[in-house]
Amino acid sequence: MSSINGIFLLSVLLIAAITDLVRRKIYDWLTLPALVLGVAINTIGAGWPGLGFGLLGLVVGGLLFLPFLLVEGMGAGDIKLMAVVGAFGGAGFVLQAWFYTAVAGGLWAVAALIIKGKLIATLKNLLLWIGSMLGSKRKPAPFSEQDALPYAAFIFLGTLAALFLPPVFVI
Amino acid sequence: MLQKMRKMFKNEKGQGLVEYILIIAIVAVLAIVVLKGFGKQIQGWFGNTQDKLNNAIENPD
Repeated sequence: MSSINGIFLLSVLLIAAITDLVRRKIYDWLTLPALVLGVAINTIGAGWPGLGFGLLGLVVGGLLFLPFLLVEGMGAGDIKLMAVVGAFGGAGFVLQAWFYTAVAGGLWAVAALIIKGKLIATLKNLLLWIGSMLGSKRKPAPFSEQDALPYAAFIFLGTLAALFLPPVFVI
Repeated sequence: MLQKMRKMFKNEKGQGLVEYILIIAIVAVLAIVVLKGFGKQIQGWFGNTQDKLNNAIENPD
């Protein structure tokens, strides 16, 4: 990714992480202009192929967390923010960023649950949930918003890692 | 339906439920393990298929 793309993207993600930490929101006034800006910068830099690159990244980024929005496990702010990462960095980059984001969020979630003494109970409930998806009749307890995490912070960290760490896979 | 979707996308929430965050992490790690472990094998399959196709084109029966 070019350094100008990287600087813009990290600035947007940092603001989103802060608003998410403080107000539990990722505002549309941030994400929607950033989507346009990401695609525009790529288009200015590389013409029509740049437009395709940015739009494809936007769509791939938006699709990554879409299933979790549909089951109301994530906020739409997170989905739009991941689409921003794609609009700036393209499809290949957003996949790398998604992987690092997922791992960072997962590690934090495990640590937070250990501290709260809820890890085993949560994992058991998760297994019940997977079982119920596969047709088991035992129902899991409803997932509570009490343990929700500000995911924008992890999208910021994951993107930072994707920028500076070696790629996890080559596409 | 369309209205429900619009409403869904209008929300600006940035919170992930911890259970889903764990699922995403598990999916990501599994995807990488599969890619790293079977990537070459899958590439091999495609390679074989391609060879066979090329052969078939070059030497039609």
